[in-house]
Amino acid sequence: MVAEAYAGEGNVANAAERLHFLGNEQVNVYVRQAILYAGQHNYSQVDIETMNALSMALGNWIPQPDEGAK
Amino acid sequence: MNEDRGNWFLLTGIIIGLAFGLLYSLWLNPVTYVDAAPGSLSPANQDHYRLMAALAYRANGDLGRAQARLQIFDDDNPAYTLGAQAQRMLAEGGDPDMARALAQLAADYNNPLPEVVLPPTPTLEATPTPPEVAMLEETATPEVTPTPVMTFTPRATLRSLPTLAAPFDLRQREIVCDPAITESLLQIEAVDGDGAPLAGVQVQITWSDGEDLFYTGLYPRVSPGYADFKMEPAIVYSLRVGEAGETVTGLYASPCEDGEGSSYWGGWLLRFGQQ
Repeated sequence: MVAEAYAGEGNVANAAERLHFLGNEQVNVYVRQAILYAGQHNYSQVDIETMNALSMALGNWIPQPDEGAK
Repeated sequence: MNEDRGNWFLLTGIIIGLAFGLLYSLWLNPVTYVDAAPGSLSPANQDHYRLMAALAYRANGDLGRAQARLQIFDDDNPAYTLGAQAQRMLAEGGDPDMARALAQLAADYNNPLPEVVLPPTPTLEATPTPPEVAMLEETATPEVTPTPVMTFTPRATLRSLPTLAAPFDLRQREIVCDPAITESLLQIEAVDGDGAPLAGVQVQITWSDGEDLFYTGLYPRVSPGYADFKMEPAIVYSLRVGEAGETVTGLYASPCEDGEGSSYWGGWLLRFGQQ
């Protein structure tokens, strides 16, 4: 859901903040776990690509001081 | 030596056991929930889940997927829950854009737009050729090759936006004097072009030193298109339904009188219809 919202908004800081709600891990960990899970459970290629796009964006993202997500 | 210590040592053992159990379960090896069903989440986490579903829906316009995600909660009326969450979010000073996404999904949840039906692609029909012409053309008959016809591939669209974007007109405006209503209420009802109640419609109220923003659908037991606002005496309000609707001015708590001559503050009933 977060990846889908990111695909529409293009705001990686918002996506990171939403993922941070899941716990204290680095947010990209959750995305990678989700991609792994999706691959194991035959999710559609479109869904996997959507999550992958978010994962790549998070990998390149450098949080600004006023962006609270970790 | 035979000490009579009674049974207190049992109680001591229970207390020590409980203390150790708490220490172990809370600090040494706390429970970690993995792959918990959304229905077992705390109310705050359920709100977060619904918000994510609403944001994803706003991004991809896939109502079926959004409905499937919300049906996990086993909620009798997901549209109502979404609307109530939107109202709560606004009341708590949350992001109006997020509330708008929730309200949008609440509005669309039970009112899906009809599927777009594409007209059939015209087909090339063979025209019978008169025999004499056929004979004349026997040696040099150019073959008719069907010209490729451009076809339209339906794309996923944000189907909900057109519903709420159309402006609303004021259809009915009347003072309500009902002693059973203890507060001076602005009662708003929004319906679509077919007269069906419409949830998730934005209502903006302004007065001399303030404004409020909320959405229809919080009271689905009254009507999915219903919302109300408590007026204060001696304040004049203006109201607009939808983002491009007509602004209604001159709304105030109206003095009413009951059967025994006692006065009280009445309200207004405003019905809006979509163009």
